[in-house]
Amino acid sequence: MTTPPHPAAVLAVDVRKSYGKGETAVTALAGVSLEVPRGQMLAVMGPSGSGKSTLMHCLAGLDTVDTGSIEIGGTQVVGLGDKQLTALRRDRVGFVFQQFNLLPTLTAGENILLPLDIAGKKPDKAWYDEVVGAVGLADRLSHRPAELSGGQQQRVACARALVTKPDVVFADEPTGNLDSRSGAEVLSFLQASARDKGQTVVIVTHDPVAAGYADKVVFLADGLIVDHMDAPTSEKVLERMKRFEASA
Amino acid sequence: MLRATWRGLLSRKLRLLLASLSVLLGISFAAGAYVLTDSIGKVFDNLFATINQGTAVTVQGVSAFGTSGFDGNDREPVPQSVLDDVSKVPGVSSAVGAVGQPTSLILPNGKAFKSAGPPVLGVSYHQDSPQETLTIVRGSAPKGLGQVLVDANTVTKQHLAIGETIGVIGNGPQQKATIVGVARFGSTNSLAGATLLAFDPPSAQQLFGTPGAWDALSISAQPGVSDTVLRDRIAAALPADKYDVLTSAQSAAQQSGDIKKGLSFFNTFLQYFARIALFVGAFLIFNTFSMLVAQRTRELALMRALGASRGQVLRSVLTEAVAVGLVGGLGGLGLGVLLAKGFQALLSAIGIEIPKGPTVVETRTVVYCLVAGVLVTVVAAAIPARRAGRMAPVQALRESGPAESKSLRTRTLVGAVILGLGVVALVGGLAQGAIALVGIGALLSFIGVTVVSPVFTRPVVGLLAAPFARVGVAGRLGRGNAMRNPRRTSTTAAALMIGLALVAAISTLGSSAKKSIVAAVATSLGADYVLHTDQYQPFSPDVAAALSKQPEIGKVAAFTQARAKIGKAGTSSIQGVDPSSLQAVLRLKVLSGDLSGLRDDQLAVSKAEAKNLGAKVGDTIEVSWAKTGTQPMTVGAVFDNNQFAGGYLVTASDYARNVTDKKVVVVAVTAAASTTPAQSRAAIERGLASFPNVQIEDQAEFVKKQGAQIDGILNFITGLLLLSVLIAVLGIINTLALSVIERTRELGLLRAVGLQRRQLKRMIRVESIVIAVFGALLGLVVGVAFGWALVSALHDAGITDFAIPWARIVEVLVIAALGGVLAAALPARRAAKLKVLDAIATD
Ligand SMILES: Nc1ncnc2c1ncn2[C@@H]1O[C@H](COP(=O)(O)OP(=O)(O)OP(=O)(O)O)[C@@H](O)[C@H]1O
Ligand SMILES: [Mg+2]
Repeated sequence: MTTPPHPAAVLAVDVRKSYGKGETAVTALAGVSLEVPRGQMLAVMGPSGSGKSTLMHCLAGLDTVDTGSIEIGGTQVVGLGDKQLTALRRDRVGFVFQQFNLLPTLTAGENILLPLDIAGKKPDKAWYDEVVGAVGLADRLSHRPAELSGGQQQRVACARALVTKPDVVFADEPTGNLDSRSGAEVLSFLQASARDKGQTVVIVTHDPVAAGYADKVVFLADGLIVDHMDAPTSEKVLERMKRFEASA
Repeated sequence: MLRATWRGLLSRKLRLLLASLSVLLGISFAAGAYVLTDSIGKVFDNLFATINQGTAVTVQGVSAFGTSGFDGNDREPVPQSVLDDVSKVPGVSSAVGAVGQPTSLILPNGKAFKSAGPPVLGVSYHQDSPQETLTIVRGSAPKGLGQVLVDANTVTKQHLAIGETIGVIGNGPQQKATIVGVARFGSTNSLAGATLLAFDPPSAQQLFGTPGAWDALSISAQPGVSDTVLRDRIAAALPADKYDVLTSAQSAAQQSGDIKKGLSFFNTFLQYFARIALFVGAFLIFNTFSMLVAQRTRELALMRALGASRGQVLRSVLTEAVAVGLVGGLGGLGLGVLLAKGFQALLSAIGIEIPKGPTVVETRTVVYCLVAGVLVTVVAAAIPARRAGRMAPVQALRESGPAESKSLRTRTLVGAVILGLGVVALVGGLAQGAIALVGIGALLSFIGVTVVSPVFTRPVVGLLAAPFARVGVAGRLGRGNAMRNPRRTSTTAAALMIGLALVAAISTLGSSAKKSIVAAVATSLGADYVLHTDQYQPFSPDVAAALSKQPEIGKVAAFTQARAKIGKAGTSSIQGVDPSSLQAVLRLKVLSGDLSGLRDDQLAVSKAEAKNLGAKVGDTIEVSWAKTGTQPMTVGAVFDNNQFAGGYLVTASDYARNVTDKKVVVVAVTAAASTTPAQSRAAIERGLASFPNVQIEDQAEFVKKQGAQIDGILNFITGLLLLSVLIAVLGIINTLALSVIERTRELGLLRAVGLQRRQLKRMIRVESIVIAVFGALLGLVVGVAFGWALVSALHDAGITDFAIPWARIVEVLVIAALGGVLAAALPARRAAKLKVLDAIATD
């Protein structure tokens, strides 16, 4: 019997996390619940220090939570040991960080294949070609990161995140270091992978333009989800942000 | 600026501490050698000063060749007539003749006592004489040939007791004697572990000494007569230039001077190894500072951008180096003192008992430690410091770390030139026997190879890591890391190369020497048996006569050995043998002249020594003997170089005429025709019945024994070289640890995308193993080449064959790989412990 695919790629219930103890304790997440359906591109927004990165790290199994439950593709993440968490990240989660996403000793192609290589798995040739073609880097695969532009590097990172067909791709300010054109390339690629290939994507961003690429936006403040917006556009997001600032 | 330096130092303390450790180890070895030898020297100063208290003046024969007691005895004994004359000198209270000669001890169980190093001496005991240095602690004074007094240390160590009977073999056959007393030497149980067998003076003279003569005279003064006055009076009463007449203070100084000469030789020997260790440490310092400077590119460039001058940046790095050097020097001094104490304990454990005394730390030792520590560190850090000073301020703004793409062309060229100079110096030094030049050559060669090696780091490392890379991603990543910075990899490997190259060189020399011995035995050892004592101590000439009587024995050739001054060749060893039996036991290749017909007043010379003397058959050479003075001798034969024959041979009768001590070193024997080995061996055993100190070796045993002896020396030297190998392993740890810090973000990224801890550790281990094996390979190649050069240079000394020590090579490679695994342990643990998020967040 095969288990039916879980409807949600990511399911978080009442996730709490604080740093430090006693007087100096900082509550980063004060009870976040979140569901990301398969194939959705979700943007997480909020002011600096609101807990966006913390949330993403917890969801992705990079950090532990104090209480709450997190499921990735139906698998409970909370309580897993380092070994299982590592395997989870390797096989079921993709990452794009703001910068330094690639190993300098490996070529772009090798960087893309790294998670498969680590798992000792053979790449699905057709899928690999499709991903590489989609990021538009087919002719730069033998180059090392140092020989690529910042935008190209981020696109390589996106391809790496997608190559394992993960349950979800997390991207923390993937365009934070890019100019608007390179940023747009990366974002449209992520958007296309969600729309066309059913890839679940969660991005953290400050940028209303970036949020405009998403299917849904959630707004975080002081460790809580305070609002959300379906079918966002950059104008609507900008407006909402202005309201936040006014109320703050 | 100083404040910034200081802060920097603290923040990098762990890394710098590791670097300090490498200097510290080398320095501690040097300090340990100094402290040990100084402390022992001091003990003997005190010892001889106190034991000579009852003696005012001593008389002995002059040293014929000015050699010290450690190079063999070259003093003629003092005749009884001189003792009689001295006794009559006004102011003399009493004068006694003393005997002190090497001898053999046969334990009550009939076995010959084998010493771990200290000699067995037969001495005279003068009861009730103030000059006597032995003090009886139990029992009574010995009387006659049948009674002996033994030192307390030997009694304890060999479980002897008063009333037991031991055997003593001096000039003649074994003499049985009952232990009647136990004695101490001055304030200690023994003289540096020497076994002392004391008889009453006439018996000692008969057993060990020369009839009618004494090895030395000890004279006490009448009250009111000073030592110097008495010395001058005695000297005036004796023929000039034949006797050394010394006050007891002078002779104490001379005796401890002899010991100190030996100690200083030992110290010099150890200091070589300390310097090698320091040299290896310098590589580590260089690498550490290079990496620190590379890592701090931004920080240093920022300082420059903020207005710090080149000089200031350079000085800030050098200040760190001085601090590292001082820590290493001081720590080394401390550890050295501990080492010296530990070594002393070790010596006493193996039977070389050194009287207790203060630990002597001379000013020279302290100065050496600090100066050497700082100097080595500063010199090694100079290049990285200069690089730091030249950092352009704009580099503060650039992205990622140092680009390592600079071409290796110039570097390789420079390295090749240094290597070339090194090889020329080495070969030239070996050819001329100039040790210093050989050392400089080796040094330059090492530096040259290090400078050149990055060129072939990538291909060789790639090849070495190929098996790992095939197995999994960890191997591939490890290989990539080992290859990404060829300079760093090769400098780290080079540190290991040095120690292992020296191990390989001496192993090559050793295996070649063993092969040469096998070849020499096969081609030139005609003797079926070789007889000698433990450690080749001279033994009774009566052995040869006893053997000749046995019908199962063919030819018997007794070899005696003394020192003599030979023409312009200087003082050398010379052997006496009966030429008629010589060719039967040693099939020497005669190049010219007549060897088996060698007559008195003739000298047979090896090819190498003939060349050295510039002499040919028929030439006259002036030979100076200790006993008879200078004699003209003609070259009767020149023979091909041979390990057993040495450089010079004279007839047994010439030898007997010119040398006082008739004891032999080796007796070579052939079996009579048509006897079985069992028969001939039994015959020899019968002949040796009264000489249990003499061992029988047939050809196979002889080869094995020689091989074992070479192995012993090899293992000892290898042991001393292990220190530098250890430092090099520290170097690998340091490089890996710094790489882990440098690559923190990469490690974090790898963990984030799913690399397991186990895989991460394996990755670092692969890098470590590859670096270590690369270093070992470099070392083995360089070492075997050195060994080959050494073997070629020593051809005339009897090392005629070249053999590569394959077993040792495999051993070294395996140990290097294990060392790599070991070196990776800590850095890998550290890397695995990194928290993924922290690692990613690092910049
Ligand atoms: N390792 C940590 N130790 C202590 N406090 C932390 C740590 N990481 C985050 N915090 C705190 O938790 C809160 C949430 O931080 P987080 O990094 O998730 O914010 P963010 O929304 O990603 O901010 P930004 O937009 O600036 O990236 C902040 O108050 C932060 O100071
Ligand atoms: Mg953040």
